Amino acid sequence: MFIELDNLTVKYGKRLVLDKMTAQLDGRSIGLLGPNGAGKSTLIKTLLGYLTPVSGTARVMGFDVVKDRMKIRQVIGYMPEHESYIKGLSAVRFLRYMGELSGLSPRAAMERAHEVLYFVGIHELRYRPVETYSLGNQQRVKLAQALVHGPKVLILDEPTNSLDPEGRDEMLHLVRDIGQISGSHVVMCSHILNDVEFCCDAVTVINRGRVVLTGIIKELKKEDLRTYDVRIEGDRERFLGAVASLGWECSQDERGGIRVKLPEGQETSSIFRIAAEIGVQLRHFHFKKDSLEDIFVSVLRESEGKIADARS
Amino acid sequence: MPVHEIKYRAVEGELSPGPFRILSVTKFTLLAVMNKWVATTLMAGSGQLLVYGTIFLIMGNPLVRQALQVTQVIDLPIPVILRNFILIQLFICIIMANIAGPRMISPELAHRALPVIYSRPIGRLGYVAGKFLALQVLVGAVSWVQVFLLFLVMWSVLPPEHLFHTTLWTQSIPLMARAMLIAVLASLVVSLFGLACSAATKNFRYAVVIFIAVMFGASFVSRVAQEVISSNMPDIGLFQVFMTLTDQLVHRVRGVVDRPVTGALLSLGVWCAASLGYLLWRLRPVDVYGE
Repeated sequence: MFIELDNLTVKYGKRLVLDKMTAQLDGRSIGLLGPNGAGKSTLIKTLLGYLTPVSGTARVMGFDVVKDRMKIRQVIGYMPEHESYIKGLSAVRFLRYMGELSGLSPRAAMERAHEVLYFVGIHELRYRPVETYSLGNQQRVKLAQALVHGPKVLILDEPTNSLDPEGRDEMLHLVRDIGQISGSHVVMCSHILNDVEFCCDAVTVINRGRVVLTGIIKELKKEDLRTYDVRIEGDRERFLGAVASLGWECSQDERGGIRVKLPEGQETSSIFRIAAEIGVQLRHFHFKKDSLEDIFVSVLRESEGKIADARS
Repeated sequence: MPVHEIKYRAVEGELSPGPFRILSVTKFTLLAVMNKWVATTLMAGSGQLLVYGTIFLIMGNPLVRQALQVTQVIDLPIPVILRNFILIQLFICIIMANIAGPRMISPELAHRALPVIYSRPIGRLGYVAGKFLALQVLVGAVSWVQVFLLFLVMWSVLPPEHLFHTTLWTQSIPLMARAMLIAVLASLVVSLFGLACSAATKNFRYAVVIFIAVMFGASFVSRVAQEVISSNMPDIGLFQVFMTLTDQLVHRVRGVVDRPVTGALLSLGVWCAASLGYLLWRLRPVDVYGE
């Protein structure tokens, strides 16, 4: 476990933001998901030692976020969501500054600055002031400054924010490469589920200051062998009526897909038989596989329901 | 290994200790502040030492005076020289702090660089200490460093029979120590205040205006309060405070203590505490996001 949260409670003034959060985050790259105001940014600030917990503990690579703030900051690289640079400083000087602040010698910091800028793909612009860069390249500088001291844990807050599709794609590949070749743990905080799915092995969902789900994405995307997604050519209403008359669960989506849940004791061939009997063609037939979006939505609904129950 | 052959590698080796990181803040702050015209102005301000040195050589050394045929030189007592010197330096010191101070923190607030700086193993105090040192390099160079250099110039230029040398241990060195103390206080207050103004706003131009407004405002309020309410009201304007302190350099030598310096020192303490307190409050890690 590189991040351990134990009953972590954090408040902004009187407002409770993280409510007895307990989780153990493991894996090479983790996506941190949650709706707005769920507490993702607060969790990041707490891990960086900017906020002090009211109660409970949080540990990063075994270091306590309250007692060992400086040790944590030596092993963490942080890429914030918003712009972050010093006007007038070139990228290479900015990275050298960040490297020296992290404890690298001036020589090592200079070497690392060049290497990392090459790695993120802006080596040709490195002597220009950062404020003259495009938004995409400024994002790359932010990523580079987070990498310059070779952190063991890399926290990326919305790394694809305000990037065009091409820039977003390049950034996602960079993040995925870092997770695979650097040996660092990556925590990626994003609202875009596809981005998280592309870059991360595991996911942690936060809602209303609590961890509501944590797990490996592949394992979470379970295949339900009793539920089928079907597309037909022919009389749709008749097919739906025939399935419903047998008492099977059946629904249709906006794009014309039909989802059929087979009851226990029924074989897959029953669906083919019904289709043949009423004279429709089956054009698509596959057992249901949850997308990350399905998981996210269902987990949020479930947690909202629990909160509503608790209140009532 | 050429840079283009390196994909990504972990950092190896020992990391430098905390004080070196603070010095990194100082170094990069000075590099960032030193754009062309600021650097020129600061260099011009620091170049005054050459002017003072020349004047001293002319006025202090009889051989030079003879060579240059300077016959009439008003031989000012050393306390008066020091007093005038410190007052002039105080103005230069304030100008320096007003040019450089606002440029130290405001630009980092403007583009929200502080969250990434704070994510490094350097605390808020370390960051403020680094900035303070950077401003001290500039402000200290025209305050206490100049007073110390003046002492060295006097010591080396004035003839052995001069009062400076004959009363070196009894009067000159204690006088210099007091003058140094005043100069150190001046640079301390002005530096902290300059940084506090810089932290107050994201635009350094506004910080310059705040610096001037608060400094003159305090003097104005202080004067008005003394005239309207009571003449015993303590000075809070930096100019008046330093006038009171530097006057003591002259008066103490003459055995006159007309106004106690306690009030002046208290005012300086308030300026320092208020500036430092505001600086640390404004730069709290959770507030530097600018959300």
